[in-house]
Amino acid sequence: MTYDFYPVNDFGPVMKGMAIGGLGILHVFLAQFAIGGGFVMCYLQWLLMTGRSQAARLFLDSFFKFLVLVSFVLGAITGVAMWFTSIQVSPRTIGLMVQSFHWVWATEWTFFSLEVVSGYAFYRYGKFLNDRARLTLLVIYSLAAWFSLFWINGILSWQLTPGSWIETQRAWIGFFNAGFWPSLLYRTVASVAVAALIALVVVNAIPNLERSDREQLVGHVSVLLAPMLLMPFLGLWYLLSMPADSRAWATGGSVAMTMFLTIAVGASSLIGWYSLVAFWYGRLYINGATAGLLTLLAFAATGGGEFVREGVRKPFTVRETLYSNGIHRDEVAEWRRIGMSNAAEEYPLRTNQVHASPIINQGAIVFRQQCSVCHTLGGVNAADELSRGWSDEQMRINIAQLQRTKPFMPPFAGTAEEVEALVQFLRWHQQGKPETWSLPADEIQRETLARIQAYLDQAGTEPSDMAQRNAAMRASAGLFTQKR
Amino acid sequence: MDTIFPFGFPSATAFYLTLFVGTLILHVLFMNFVVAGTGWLAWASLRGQLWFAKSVSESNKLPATGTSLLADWIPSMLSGAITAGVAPLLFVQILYQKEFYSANLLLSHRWMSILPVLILGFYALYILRTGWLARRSVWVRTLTALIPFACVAFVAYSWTENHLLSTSGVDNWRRFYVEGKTWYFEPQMLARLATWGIGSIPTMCVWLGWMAHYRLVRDLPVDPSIARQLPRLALVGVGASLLCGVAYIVAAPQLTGVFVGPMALPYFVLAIVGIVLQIAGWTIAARNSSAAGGLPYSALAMASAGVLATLAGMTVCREVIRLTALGAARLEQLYSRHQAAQEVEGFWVFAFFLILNAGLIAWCFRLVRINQAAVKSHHERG
Ligand code: HEM
Repeated sequence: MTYDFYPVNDFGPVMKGMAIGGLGILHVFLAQFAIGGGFVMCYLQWLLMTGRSQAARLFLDSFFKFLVLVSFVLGAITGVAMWFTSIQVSPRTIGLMVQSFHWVWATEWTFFSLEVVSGYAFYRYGKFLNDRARLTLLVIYSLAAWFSLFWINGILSWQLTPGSWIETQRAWIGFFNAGFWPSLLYRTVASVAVAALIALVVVNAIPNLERSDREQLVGHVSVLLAPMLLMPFLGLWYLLSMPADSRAWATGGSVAMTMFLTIAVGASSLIGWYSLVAFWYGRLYINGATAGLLTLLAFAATGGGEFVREGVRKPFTVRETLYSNGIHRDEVAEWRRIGMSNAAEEYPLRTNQVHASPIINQGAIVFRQQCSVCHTLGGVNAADELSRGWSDEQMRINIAQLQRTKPFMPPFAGTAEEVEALVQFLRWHQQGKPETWSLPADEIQRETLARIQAYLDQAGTEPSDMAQRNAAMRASAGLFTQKR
Repeated sequence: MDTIFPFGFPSATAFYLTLFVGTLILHVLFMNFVVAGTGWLAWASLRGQLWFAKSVSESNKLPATGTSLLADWIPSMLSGAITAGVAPLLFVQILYQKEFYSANLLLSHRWMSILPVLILGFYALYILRTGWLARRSVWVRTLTALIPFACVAFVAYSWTENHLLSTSGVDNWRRFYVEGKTWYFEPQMLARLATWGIGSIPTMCVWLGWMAHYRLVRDLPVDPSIARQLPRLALVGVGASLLCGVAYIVAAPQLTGVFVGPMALPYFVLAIVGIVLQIAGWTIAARNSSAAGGLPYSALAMASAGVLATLAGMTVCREVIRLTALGAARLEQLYSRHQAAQEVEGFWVFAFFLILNAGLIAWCFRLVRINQAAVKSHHERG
């Protein structure tokens, strides 16, 4: 089997998912601002040209300056950072994404370049151009920014719903997947809403603007919050496009996912309701503090939504294809046979991590390769803490049958010896990493390994199948409601 | 590997190599402006010569100096460098996925630190143009002007470090990982970096030359000192980068064989022809510059052609160094991956949008140019 081993870094107490998730939220929020910002500006430029708002000109120049400073710098660099962080967290996932969709990415790059050029052209020369030229530049900018979303959205939604790409491996089948349209439309509406809220902050921050002009601008910009009325329907559509188990997870199956979904829905609803009321009463003025607060809520909504999107893919990073720990679905059986500790040949433990006992070292390698992408030791979602109350035998069963222990974990990809090494490694951690570590007699060891092998065989090498995953989700959802 | 680049490779490999090198040249064109430009700003600040217009209309009224043009354009050019960097970043992952990812992972947070550093450098460039900074003490102003250069130099250093580590081989990676290192160094590194870094000066001079030229075309004032400064600086840059190139070859003697080998030789010759053109172009420019600060069009065009030839030639030579370092056995393993990548759908969609969007980019420039009259009358009114 040809398998590219990569060096694995330790993020200390931080879960790797948190690093990519946190950055992702910031980047998505900024990208939404850049995309929606284009539409907001086109709308105001049009109002200006049709004589409906003279104050729009002042707003456009201030807003665009802000957009360039925030989105062209932070937005662009966090975009590159997403790529680099993905490599740090899961090189095999980003590798598969690049290999499968590089032309989509390259196409997106042409739009990104157009976005940057048209944006800077407006930034530098907008003031001197006639209104028609200004509008043309803004339309080009907005379309370029929106198309960047169009392309990237196909790749991101493919990760959760690759559909028949799995059999055909055809890029366009993967790209126009079940989640493509609901996700694209949802994100488009979210982008306009985010940009409108930030625009409201900017309207309140422009110096030397008459109160009446401010009120007029607030009124115009608030209109752009109206598409938020579509969000519940689009959100529902997106939820329905998800695989059943992912949906079950977000809607009660997992406490964390449900909480994040609740944050996303709750924060969006608050913004929506506020806007509706403002709209209803016509001239309700939104001041800077309120607009700032609503923007923070939009950030929370983006954060909740992104965590759900990242989380519900588990145990995969590309559904039914690649597990979160970078092991391909088809490779598990082979690793069961030959063992994952081969990784040590390419990348042994770091000098300062080597322990006197070989089994602890082997356990450390197994943990690094198979668990460390989602678990830490002693930090967030710490594997040693989660398993502290388990007996040795419980540990062996639960690790050998990982996909049954929790359906959002992948099957264990290693030998019985490796399961045992991992059990000993976790115990060693739980007991404060003693200097020496002794093992039972060989006879007992042999019996233990035979039992582990039986556990492994019972669970098989496939992920917990869909029905099983759903049943487990329902059960844990029930448990969740009972607890409440 | 015994015929001119990229023809000795299977078609898929040759195809991605060409795309990679082509887009990398674009990146380097912008990157050079930013590297040398931030260096210039840092130098100017140390000599107390910083002056920045706060807006385009203000800069249109005052005679442009090299410093003012740089301060005006560097933020957009840094955006250009980053945007243009995305395409080779994509193709390098298709060509040498394992190598590139392994180096990224080995350098770890050290590698990732280029991102906050870039953000810092970027914002420092914007701050340079604020009235807020103009009111600060000379120390604060000077230190702020040094930040972009320090940041950009660090980013350039890191790319070189990552590149060299990526070609240094599995055994080296293993050692690096086991020892828990996060900095990589080879004796050739500084000479290589200096060749890039100082080699960026002539590119910047060409950019500045055209900027000054178009200002004069638009009847906007240019400080006559530009016409004296640029040719001199460019010639010093060419000379100094040649010296660094020699130091680079001394530090890594195996390179001589690579440059005169069958894959790289024509490109090496192209690079040298480029240098000759640059020297000729700048010498003519130095002798014939106008009192208004303009550089003769034909001399500037010659120097530009020289810069393009040198960049193209050296970028290919750089690639051949990597291909040679990886060796035939490793490349054999990569061919099937490149082939698999080429079978993925989407190339024609990319090609279509590349042409369409390149056209739209050109249209954006045209829109602004057509409105030049408006800019000018605004300037005259103002
Ligand atoms: C101020 C910012 C930057 C500077 C000064 C810079 C500088 C450099 C330098 C000096 C090299 C050549 C390294 C060598 O051959 O020794 C290089 C290569 C490269 N740069 Fe940049 N860079 C910058 C930003 C970026 C960004 C943001 C990206 C990605 C979006 C990027 C993408 C690349 C790629 C893909 C290569 C080729 C890497 C390889 O072949 O191994 N650069 N850059």
